Amino acid sequence: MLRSKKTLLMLALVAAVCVMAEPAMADRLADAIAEAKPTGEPGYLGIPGGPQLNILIGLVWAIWVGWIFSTVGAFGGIMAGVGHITIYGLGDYASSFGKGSQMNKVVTDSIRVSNQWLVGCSAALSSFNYYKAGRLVLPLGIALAIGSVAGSWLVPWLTAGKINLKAYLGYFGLFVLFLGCYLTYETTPKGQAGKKAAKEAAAAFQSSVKKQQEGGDVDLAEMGVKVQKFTPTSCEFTFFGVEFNFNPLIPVVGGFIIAALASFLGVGGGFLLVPFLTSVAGLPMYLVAGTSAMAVFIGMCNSIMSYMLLKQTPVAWGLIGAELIGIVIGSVIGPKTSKFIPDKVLKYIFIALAVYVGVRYTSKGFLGYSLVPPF
Amino acid sequence: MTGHMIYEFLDPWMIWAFRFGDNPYVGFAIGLLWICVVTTVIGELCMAAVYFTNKKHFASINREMVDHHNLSVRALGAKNKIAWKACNSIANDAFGKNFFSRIALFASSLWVVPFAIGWLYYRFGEVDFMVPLIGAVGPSFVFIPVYILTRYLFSVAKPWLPLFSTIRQRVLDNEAGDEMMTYMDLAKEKEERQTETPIPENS
Repeated sequence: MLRSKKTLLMLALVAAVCVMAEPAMADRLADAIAEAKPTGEPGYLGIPGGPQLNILIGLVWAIWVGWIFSTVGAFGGIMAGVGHITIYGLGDYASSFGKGSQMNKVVTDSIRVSNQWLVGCSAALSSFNYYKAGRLVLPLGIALAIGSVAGSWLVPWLTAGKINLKAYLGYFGLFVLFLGCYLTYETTPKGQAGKKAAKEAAAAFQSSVKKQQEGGDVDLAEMGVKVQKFTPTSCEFTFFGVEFNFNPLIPVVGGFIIAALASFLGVGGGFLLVPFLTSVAGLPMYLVAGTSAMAVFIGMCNSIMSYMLLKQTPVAWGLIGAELIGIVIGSVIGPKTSKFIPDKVLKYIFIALAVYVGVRYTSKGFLGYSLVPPF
Repeated sequence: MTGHMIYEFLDPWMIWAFRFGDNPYVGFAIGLLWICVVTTVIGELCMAAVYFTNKKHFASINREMVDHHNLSVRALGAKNKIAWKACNSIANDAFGKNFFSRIALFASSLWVVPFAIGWLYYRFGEVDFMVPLIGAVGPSFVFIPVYILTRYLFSVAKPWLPLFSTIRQRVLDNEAGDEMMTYMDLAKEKEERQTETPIPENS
């Protein structure tokens, strides 16, 4: 009956989702409400006196997030997080319950999972498409998945219900600052030199292909991947006769660290995985893209499942829906407007933004007050 | 505007299907299927609208990724490691842009889902769906798998569905051009060249 791999994959996906889809989650929230005894009209997550989230504000902010997605690539998950924490005021609301209260931690976890729902669900479709196209390297995917599963399970297990808003803000800010530093490095002459050299080498090869039809002299005996040496710390292989090597522990450890970081911060992690695999393992984009999408998907399923199923973390569905609409509108506007803004200017805008958000959240989280306005 | 107001607006459009027949289980199954089909159709139409609004952009980022990838495959075939690394890294950058654009595009087919789940909680949040070994679960436990199955079946049926088959063909036409090369294509190219220009026996 199961005639194709696609059907098998589909059934596996449905089975995974059956496990992932959350159970009735009233307990943790109900306990937190019972402890904090808030009063007033039901607001966010039905909490009495909780913020009345205006979906239109969510929509407008998400348009900005979508614009970033379609022009810059990464940074969308970060901005989604900023929206949840600051724009909707969920950060201040969580903080108002005090450091040790259950409500503070429930709302903090809810912010983390909401971010992951926004960024993560798309990895499912990508994985499915890459699988159909035969672009998943299963052994590498499994190595990454082992790391991802461990990281994205361990972090919710260790931190859900334990991280208060201030600590989360501090680490979130540090990560954004790190990203800002990386973006700054890319604009320096040294950072630019690498890209320039790559472009020149690619252009030189392109012209030689045009002249000599280069690329056709393939030794059929050397086709594909041939492993020369494989130990726990070293894998040497030839790929179409060209030598490559990488440490097999790196995908496992890298997958673990990236998934743990993504899970802790409530971001996707895909933007870290692809460059990691192409630069560290020297693998082709063709194969890395699908493999990393699968690792992101597995990590994401696992992380969302851990937060929602094991730790009963609630989310506001209407807000996520409105944000998705905003992302769509932003991504339509993005390509139409970005051609009027030079790449360099775009980069400087994001450096400024990353430094501002990073300094603000790090100082608010670790010092208790913001070093930049609004204080 | 709050989520509650949206669910109140959606209610008459959604609930009628759940009242089909006298058996509540059958009614729930029909209602669930109705919501899944509606969310899938609205989502697919929105995705198509977003795609065609920016079709040049999607075609160009896809082209850049495919061209540099194909160049990297040729560089590998020529055993030119420097060119391979360069082309692969540029293809990787282009992939990043393509990937995130597609994520945003995919979101246009998904935005309906959270509203559907939210409405299910608004209507059936108080109902405990009991599942062996797991215990009480929320409405999304039943909705998400049925939605994925509906979406999958819809994608299989697309080539035969009026409007959607046209959309599919137009997307294919928009991205027509060089296919993404696989490494096996290098060998095929070589074989083709050898067939075209056979080497003389005495050479």
